[in-house]
Amino acid sequence: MFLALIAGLCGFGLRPRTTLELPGPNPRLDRILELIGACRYSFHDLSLIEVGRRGTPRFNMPFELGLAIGRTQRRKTAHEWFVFEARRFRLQRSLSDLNGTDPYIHLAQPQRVLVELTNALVRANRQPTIEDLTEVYHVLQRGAARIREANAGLYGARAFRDLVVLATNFVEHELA
Amino acid sequence: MKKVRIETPYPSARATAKALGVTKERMQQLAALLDELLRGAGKKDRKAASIRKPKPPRGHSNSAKKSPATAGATSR
Repeated sequence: MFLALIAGLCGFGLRPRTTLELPGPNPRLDRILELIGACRYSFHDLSLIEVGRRGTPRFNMPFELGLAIGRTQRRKTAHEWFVFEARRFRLQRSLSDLNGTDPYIHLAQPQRVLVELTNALVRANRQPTIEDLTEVYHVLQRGAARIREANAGLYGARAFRDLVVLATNFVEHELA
Repeated sequence: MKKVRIETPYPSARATAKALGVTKERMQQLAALLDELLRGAGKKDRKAASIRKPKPPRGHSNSAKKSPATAGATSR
């Protein structure tokens, strides 16, 4: 899912960002707000709010969605936010304040993530095909093993940067 | 007034790497990795193409003979 999102966003010519890439003394919350302010779009996948091994659910994603909506409403900016979910009608039960907002349902499948990204970004000025995005995804998938090995994991700042650069490199040479 | 859509170029990998603070050396390593992945994919494609059997021709007579039910259904 992580790889599909990076591949899809790079395929659209966007530059994915994450709080991981912003080290520094600032609190995490400031970094998140800074990132939301710097981006044209934000994508919030609410499918991973599940009770972990220690019995604590993760609320980061809905919290960040709230921050993005609050900022967009208050400042009347052109920022656009999109909600992704794995299952139909779950959002109505888990976050009824968003009733009337259609989430993009990816069914926890990478291919569906790509399809739903094309639906969400239907007004973007660049419209890559699903085949294009799938190709980027496959390249990332194949390269991920080496990047994981080099960075001792895939969910760190450096691994994220490597994945974005690899995907952008591919897009620049094969799709542009 | 007609609205003009401005087409922006894809961000270059070099600019992206610079924005993300990736070193030149790492950038070269990632470019080499991409080359390797693409070459590997090319090899796989060629191999798959050589293994792939040609499809039987979509004819009337052969397929009709092989499946009597269809043949019966389509016969006069």
